[in-house]
Amino acid sequence: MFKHVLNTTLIYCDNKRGIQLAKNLVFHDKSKHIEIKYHYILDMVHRGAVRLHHIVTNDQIVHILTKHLSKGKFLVFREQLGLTDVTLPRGSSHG
Amino acid sequence: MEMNFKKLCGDAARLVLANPFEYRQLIGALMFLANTRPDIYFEVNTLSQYMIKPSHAQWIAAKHVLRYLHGTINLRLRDIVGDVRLHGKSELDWVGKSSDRKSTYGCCFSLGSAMVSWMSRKQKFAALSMAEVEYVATSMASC
Repeated sequence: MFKHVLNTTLIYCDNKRGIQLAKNLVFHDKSKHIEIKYHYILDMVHRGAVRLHHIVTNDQIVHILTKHLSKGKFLVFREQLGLTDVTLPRGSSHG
Repeated sequence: MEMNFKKLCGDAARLVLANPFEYRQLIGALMFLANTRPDIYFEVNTLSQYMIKPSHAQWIAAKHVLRYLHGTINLRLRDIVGDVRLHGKSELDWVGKSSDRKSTYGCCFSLGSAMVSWMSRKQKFAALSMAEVEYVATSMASC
């Protein structure tokens, strides 16, 4: 595993405006109120360490870490997080 | 697991726990567990915001988490298989709690098929726009 060199990290987020802000070198008036330390992502994107991608909100599994979800969505996201029942055969989920 | 505080915020929310020490102990233990169970991370995060003066509603919710864990005791995180590429995801909850107008942001990183790192935190400032929160969330994710 340690032989691998990590390439550019892809970060998915579901807000297009946020992505645009991070890609644009010019600090326009609309982002003046954001503190300088949070412009770190801009550096990272321009250095090529991070690439931002858009993702549809419904596919965004991090919802499980930020808000209360309905049972159906919770189970789907939990499965996608990689939490699986070790006692069940592969592919089947446990509710 | 739907842990709806609003439903519980009737009489139970006004009843302050006589022994908050027990509650704090329980949340401490759950925090330790959340290192290997990202599915309870958010609930533990929310419950830990009531450490000073927990009410009966939080106690019920904490017991709910325990019951959930009892029912899903066999869940394990997947191992790293195949392609090792680092992928991140960042996300926010715009003004999750109306009491302090602060948003919650979270991110998780996966190496191939396995989840390796995750976090979720309440932002320290009241943000003015959705884009600002998302921007800050991606920034914190990349640090």
